[in-house]
Amino acid sequence: MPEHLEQHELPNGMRVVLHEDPRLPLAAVNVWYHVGSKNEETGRTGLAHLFEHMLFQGSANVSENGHFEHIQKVGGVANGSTWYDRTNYYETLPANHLELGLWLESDRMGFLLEALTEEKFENQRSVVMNERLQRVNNQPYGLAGERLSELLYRRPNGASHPYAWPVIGYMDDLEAANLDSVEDFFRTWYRPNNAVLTLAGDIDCEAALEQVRRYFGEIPSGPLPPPPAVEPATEIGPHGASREILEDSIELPRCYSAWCLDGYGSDDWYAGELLAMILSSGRMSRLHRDLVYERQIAQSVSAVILPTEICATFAIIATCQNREPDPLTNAETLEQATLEHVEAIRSAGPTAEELERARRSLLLAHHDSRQDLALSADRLSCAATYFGDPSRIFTEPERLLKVDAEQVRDLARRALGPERRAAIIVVPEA
Amino acid sequence: MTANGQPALDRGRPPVPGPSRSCSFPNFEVEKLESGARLWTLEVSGCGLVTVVLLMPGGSELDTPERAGLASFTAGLRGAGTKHRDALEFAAAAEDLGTSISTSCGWENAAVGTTIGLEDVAAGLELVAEAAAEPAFLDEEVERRRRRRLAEIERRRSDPAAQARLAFARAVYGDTPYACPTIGDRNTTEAITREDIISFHGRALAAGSCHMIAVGDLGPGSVRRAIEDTVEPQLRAHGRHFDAAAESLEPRLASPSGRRVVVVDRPGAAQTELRIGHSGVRRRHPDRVRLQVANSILGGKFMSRLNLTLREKHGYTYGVSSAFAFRRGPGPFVISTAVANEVAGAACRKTVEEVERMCAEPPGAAELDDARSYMVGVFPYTLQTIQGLSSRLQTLAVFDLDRDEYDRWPERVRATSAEDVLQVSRRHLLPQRLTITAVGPADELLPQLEGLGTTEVQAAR
Repeated sequence: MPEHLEQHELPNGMRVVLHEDPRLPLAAVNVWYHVGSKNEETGRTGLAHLFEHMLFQGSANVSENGHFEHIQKVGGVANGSTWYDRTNYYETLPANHLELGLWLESDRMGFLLEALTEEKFENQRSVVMNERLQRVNNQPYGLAGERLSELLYRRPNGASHPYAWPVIGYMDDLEAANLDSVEDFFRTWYRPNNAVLTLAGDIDCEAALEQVRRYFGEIPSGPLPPPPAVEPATEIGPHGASREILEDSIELPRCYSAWCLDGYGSDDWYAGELLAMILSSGRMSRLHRDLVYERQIAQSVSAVILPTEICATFAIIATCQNREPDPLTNAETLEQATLEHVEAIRSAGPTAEELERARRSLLLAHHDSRQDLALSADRLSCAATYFGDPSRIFTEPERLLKVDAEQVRDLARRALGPERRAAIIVVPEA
Repeated sequence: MTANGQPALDRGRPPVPGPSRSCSFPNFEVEKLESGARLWTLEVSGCGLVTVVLLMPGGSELDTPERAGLASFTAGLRGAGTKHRDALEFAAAAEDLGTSISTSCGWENAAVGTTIGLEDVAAGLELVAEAAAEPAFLDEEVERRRRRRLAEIERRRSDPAAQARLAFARAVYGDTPYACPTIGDRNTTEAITREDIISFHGRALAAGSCHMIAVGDLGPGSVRRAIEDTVEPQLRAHGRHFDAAAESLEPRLASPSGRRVVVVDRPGAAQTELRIGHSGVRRRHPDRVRLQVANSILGGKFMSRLNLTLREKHGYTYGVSSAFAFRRGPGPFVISTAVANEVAGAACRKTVEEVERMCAEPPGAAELDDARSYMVGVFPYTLQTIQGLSSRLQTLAVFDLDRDEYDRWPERVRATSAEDVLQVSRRHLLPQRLTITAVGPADELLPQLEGLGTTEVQAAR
């Protein structure tokens, strides 16, 4: 694959990543703002995401529906998403419309506030409340994940760590949100010196950089709040009683276990990624083979590690195959079975064969994921935002391949102990 | 002009685009192998990967009401042990290569495939061929799979979106194959026997009706040779054409006139899932492209009439979309959304109004132009990955389309006029015959839905 990667910084502090990839006449525009739900405070959750919605409601020179209108009429696709640590906005356009993307992104970065109205805000608040209903409240097991994070990220004094609340926010907070808080949020965080802009695809780097300077150069930088203090994962959570049983409108009981690890980019995080694969990726993985295939007590199992910045949730989620004869007993049996596998890793580590399978699978997935331009652009923005080095996406597999069995065992010993676990059991409503 | 020779930046209007670079569907080859199977190859050099799919007969359209789910039950077992390796050995063989063998089943066809690194193509193909041609269907595996399928059917009972799809299909398609989800239901899943599966697989394994589709870093002749060495010997032993046809896929409407409202009661549900539509048109229908343009305007993109009304104007929903499912038979036309309970009636009425408006007047010139440019413009976007390209070829193979289908598509879209949109809307959108399926709290929904059509209330299944 042809590689040409550049990184620049404009005088106003905005970082620009350019990646030439001329396979198709497409250009991906991707902006990361280094702000997400972790920068909110309790009582005002959901603001980062609600704000993301407002960025599609027009700016000084773009009408209310103008953003999507301009992009769709030229055959582009666009969206945005909010995460604990960042908010991204992106469009993939026919390459000759690259400048359209720059015009739209610079207009909402530099000239948003004059277009915000109470009416647009009320409309999008209603859209987001419906989004929450659809993704959480009306979703089987929808509230379990939220409760799990609350338990895992509760501090000894009862306060919440910034990963304790859901990205989409609590319904009460969404109801209480107002236009003023949205405007404050914009002024605080949506600064060029808090943004990375990546352009990837069929672009001419020199010409593209010149256009970027034209559109973004005049947007003023501003003071940013200090980043949240990084604490060792072991200090964070959980504290106090950290296992609960929930009832929900579901058929198959489910158990969740979660632990807190060091954040994305740390050696522990990569060991955790490999461990998640060894536990649940593929039919030969430990949990799948034993619980789904051999014992048939699980309908599905998954182990995941979230790519979050200041620390990371490692979770195991297992769904029972049966609710009979007793849902709670079934869920607790399954929970114990998953924990026995964690203990086995803690005492003996993974086998060489397991490690090799996980490595091969990771390499293939890495190659596969590089085919998609928008995804590549997003990963470049990610690496530039968190590590200051976009080229890190090319060396990411090496970091994973370096992890050995002893590192996985050591991580599990230190971080996945019973005293550090938060857990939720979900059973059908009585 | 500014000092550096650039014109001053005018933020007041969108920039003028540069010259466009055309993009067409990449060249591909189709040839008939000795077994009778068709081999489709498309070279994407430099990606280091190959994706292969063996398409075979045996889609869910062949399911009968008594054995609904048989096609996908059979398809799923193709990866669960073969004559040479048990289920775990088979899984390990693929995972040692960093991949897995996927088995799937759509309405028209079943498939076995994998995406694999260039150096492992021959080994991957061998596993694909083994799963497709020599599955063991051991009793133990059949029962294991049956239990998981029953649990999945159970799980869907409390999944509101799944309930909405289920109730909609049943209401629209009566007792024809599209009425039942491809997984079947509890009764049919319990009734299917190992003999049913073996016999169904035996019929489906007909090389003359198979397609081998390989996309990626194929290299000069090397993947072709690997297919000759691995898949072909297996297929040559079954070199016949598939003999059976599906029963009629035309829906038999229980109530051919008037709108219907089906409420699936979920007391206390936080939101209402809506599916609104009727049966649509088959994939090979001559109106298809014009209908896609019409659908794009109605609900096929973010800037569609439905999304602008229900989401951006009224804030009833996080999103709404409409789509025609183009299958061998007339798949559904369906509008999908989830709305706050208290606005479900209003959302349904606005939706019906928008469908009526499509049939009452042609779209405006700008609206039509935007829809056409969107459809043509996003085409290259779907050609980025070898899996995306493979799926395009699979569509050609499954529906027996002309090989220049994708080359002609942009001109067909551009040639669609406002009058065409009105005419196809009048022919294929039936506002008076919509089935409105609502999954939510019946006590809140019924008063709101009154007057929209003949109404029935069901319990979740």
